[in-house]
Amino acid sequence: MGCPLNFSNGRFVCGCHFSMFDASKNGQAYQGLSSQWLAQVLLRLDAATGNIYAEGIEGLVYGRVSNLNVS
Amino acid sequence: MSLFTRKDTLPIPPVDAERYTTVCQYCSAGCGYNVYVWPVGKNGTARDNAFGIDLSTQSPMLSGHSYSETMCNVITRKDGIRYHLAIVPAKESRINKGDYSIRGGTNAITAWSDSGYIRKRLKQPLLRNGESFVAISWKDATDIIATLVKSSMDRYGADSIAMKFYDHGSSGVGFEDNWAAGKLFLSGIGTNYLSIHNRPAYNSEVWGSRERGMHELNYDVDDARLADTVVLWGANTYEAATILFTEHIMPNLQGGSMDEKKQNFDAGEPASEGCLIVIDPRKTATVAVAESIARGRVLHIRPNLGTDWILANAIARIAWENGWYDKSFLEKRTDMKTFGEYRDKSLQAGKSLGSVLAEAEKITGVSRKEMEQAAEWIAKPKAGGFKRRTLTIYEKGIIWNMKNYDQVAAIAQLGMLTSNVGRPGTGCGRQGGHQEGYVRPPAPTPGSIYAGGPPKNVDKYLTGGGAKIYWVGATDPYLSTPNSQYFRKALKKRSATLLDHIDEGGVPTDPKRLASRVLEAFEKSDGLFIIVQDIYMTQTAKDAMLILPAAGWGEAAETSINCHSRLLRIYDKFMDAPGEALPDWKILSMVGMKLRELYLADGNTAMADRFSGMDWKSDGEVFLAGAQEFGDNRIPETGEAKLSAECYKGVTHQILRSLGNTGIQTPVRVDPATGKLVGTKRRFTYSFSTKDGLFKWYGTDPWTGYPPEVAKYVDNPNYPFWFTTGRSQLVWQTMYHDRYLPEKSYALPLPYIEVNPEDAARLGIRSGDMVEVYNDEGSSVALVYVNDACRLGLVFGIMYHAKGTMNHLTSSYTDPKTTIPWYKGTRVAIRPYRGTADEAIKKASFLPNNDVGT
Repeated sequence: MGCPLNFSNGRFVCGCHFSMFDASKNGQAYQGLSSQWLAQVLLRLDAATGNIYAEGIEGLVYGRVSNLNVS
Repeated sequence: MSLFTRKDTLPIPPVDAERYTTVCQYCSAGCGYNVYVWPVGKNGTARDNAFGIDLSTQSPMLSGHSYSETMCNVITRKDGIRYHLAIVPAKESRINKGDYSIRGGTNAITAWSDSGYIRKRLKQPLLRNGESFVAISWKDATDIIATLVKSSMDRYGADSIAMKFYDHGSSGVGFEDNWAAGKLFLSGIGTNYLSIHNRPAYNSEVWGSRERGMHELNYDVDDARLADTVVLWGANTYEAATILFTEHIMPNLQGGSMDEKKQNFDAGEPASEGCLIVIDPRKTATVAVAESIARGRVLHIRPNLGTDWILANAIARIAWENGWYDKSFLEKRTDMKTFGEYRDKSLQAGKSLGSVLAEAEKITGVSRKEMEQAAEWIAKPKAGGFKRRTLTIYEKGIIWNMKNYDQVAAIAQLGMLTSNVGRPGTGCGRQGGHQEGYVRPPAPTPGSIYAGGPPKNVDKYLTGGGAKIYWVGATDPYLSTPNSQYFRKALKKRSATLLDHIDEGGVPTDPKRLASRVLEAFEKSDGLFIIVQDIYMTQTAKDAMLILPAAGWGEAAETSINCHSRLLRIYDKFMDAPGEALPDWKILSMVGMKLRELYLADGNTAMADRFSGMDWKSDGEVFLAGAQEFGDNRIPETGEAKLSAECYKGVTHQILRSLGNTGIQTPVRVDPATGKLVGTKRRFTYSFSTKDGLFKWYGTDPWTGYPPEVAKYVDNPNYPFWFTTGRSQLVWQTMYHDRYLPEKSYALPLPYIEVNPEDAARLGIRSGDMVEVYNDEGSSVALVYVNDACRLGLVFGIMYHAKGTMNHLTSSYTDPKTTIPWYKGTRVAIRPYRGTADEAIKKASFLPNNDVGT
């Protein structure tokens, strides 16, 4: 339902209806209302600099009809 | 990397998309949904679309509009054209207000689609040929069934036909299919060996309440927001009727319904944030969520398995002792001639309170303090002497308990004793599993042992060699019936015997030749001809001789009511069934008409007449035909208790289409003053469903221990664990759809058990291990989840799963008063396997699903 998630003990917990998503298992919804798993952001670690780059996303960000803006 | 292909863009329905209203195909909550269908390639735009909202920006939280990856699909209709399908929760529905569960949120991706997840639907009638099946025509299938049914009835009597069909609504069936099944099996064939989808007999699961005059669907969802106290008794609402909990009970606990309380309560009556009592041996997510939002106002009571009616009576005795009841109400609304039996046997008024409670503590394992707290929250009048408003909702923890009749009766009578029926914020009824949609001719067994029963146990009849034909519709008893390993073994053998007799180098497909061989086999053996009518190949269907492909949800127009408001709505047809699949009512109609034709050819008009009136042309016509069963409903509001709970007489499919997600609440009346159709919000405000309108009391049995089928395990060190079963939030029933959805099959790859950490340590098992769970009835393979839901010595298992069932372990015990099984109590042993975990297991989450704290 688009509510903010709280992270603790390895999982994200929805503050509205208590959907829970396992952060280490592809954001899978293992309890609660959400029928969609969390979108996963593809990260790349630059070992030389220690910088982390977000380079893509798999799955749709909740509340959007496209991850890119549409008109 | 994602485990499966994800979407990053959703198709947008154009303004001119086809629109339908429907109701979720799953649980008893019955959430409203809107359906949009439009040709592929003709999308709307972010600002110009059928939703009528601006989709160019992210929806704000709790906007009431949801549209996610799991809410769209691509379907192909019989015109060969591919269409987008979107099924989104209805904001205008007062049941879900735009909210949805993990089940309902996937309605769209369960639609049959040659490019989606659901491709393996049954598409043609199939006849067994050795180890495989061949497709045959509907005409041949109908001829085979009608010929065999008629011959079997003529030679061996109607009881040679055994049946197991749904009695519920939604899940692709409704009043239409129930009426057709009733016409064929009850009026037409007239067998006594009928059974309902989830149990071995044809019975109500709640005769203990109905025979008091109180139908179990008596409250409204509004009552869950208005109650001072909600009691969830053997009902895991957050996981099994999710939206009832999140949209109605949670707001009450959080203080979100205070304004409504003030509007509905009497002048000067105190209103405060609600209390919740959960009576469940497990610390479920329902308990965990409630405690996190209403600390200090949640009481969790964990009785020993099988003892709840003793607990209910003890709580009632405390209320009685304290005078927390309205004597004038009892005298006006209940049959005081029967009250003495209740007072003496259930309340045990002849014994001191101390001795009754001491005995109850010993039997139930619940402390006196907890019983007193529960009695206070249920019954103690509020400041100013105002009656408390308590809504009690019970479900399978009570219904599928030992002594079904007494369990249900004890809770119904606690509700009645404390005046918690028929007022806003009150009610005492079941949560429901499915939605409902029952309309049939009278059943052969009208009630419990006290009212003409008990009904026949079809499972025992079949395993004992009874019946020649067993027709199963939309259920999978190999997974779902009690003591299923034994049942499966017996039926597999009888099916093989039949096949052995008729397979002489191939099974003939010519109906006459096949029927001739089958009838010969019937004479010479105990062979059983199994017919399975379903949308998928099931475990039971693998042993069938004939499989009939049925239409599913959304593939025919159906009607049902939900359980928490008796809200009747249309579940409209928005797509075609795959291949040659047909609605259930149509299949049953074809067989009924063929039987009529065969009896007419015999000159037997009396038998032919039993199958008359089945030549319906449309789903709307079947709906109207069923309505005649309800009798005259032109009565004033004060007479509503005289009506069947599901009476819809006067309503048509067209009326329901115009009402959309608003629907109308059964029982529906024709108001004598205005002539208009009127729904019923809340039941039993004026009288009860008995001849004199008075509630009938009943004296429950005393505690006499466990039945022999379970008592044999008690104190046997070989079976050290009590074992109970139930649902998972994630999946529905046998996972008939869910097994094909990656969101579900990855998350719940196998049947599982939940084990207390101390027991797990003693067994040397951890989350993710595989174990054998076994007893003398059978064995099951299970994945282990270690969490604190169960107390020491108790193990929980999912009741069944696409890949196995825990009903191998349940006993054949049924309540002698009702023939309802005790699915939720036996004892088992556990032995770990030591193989390497499958890859599928490694992908599943093992985090505790009852820990919501952050």
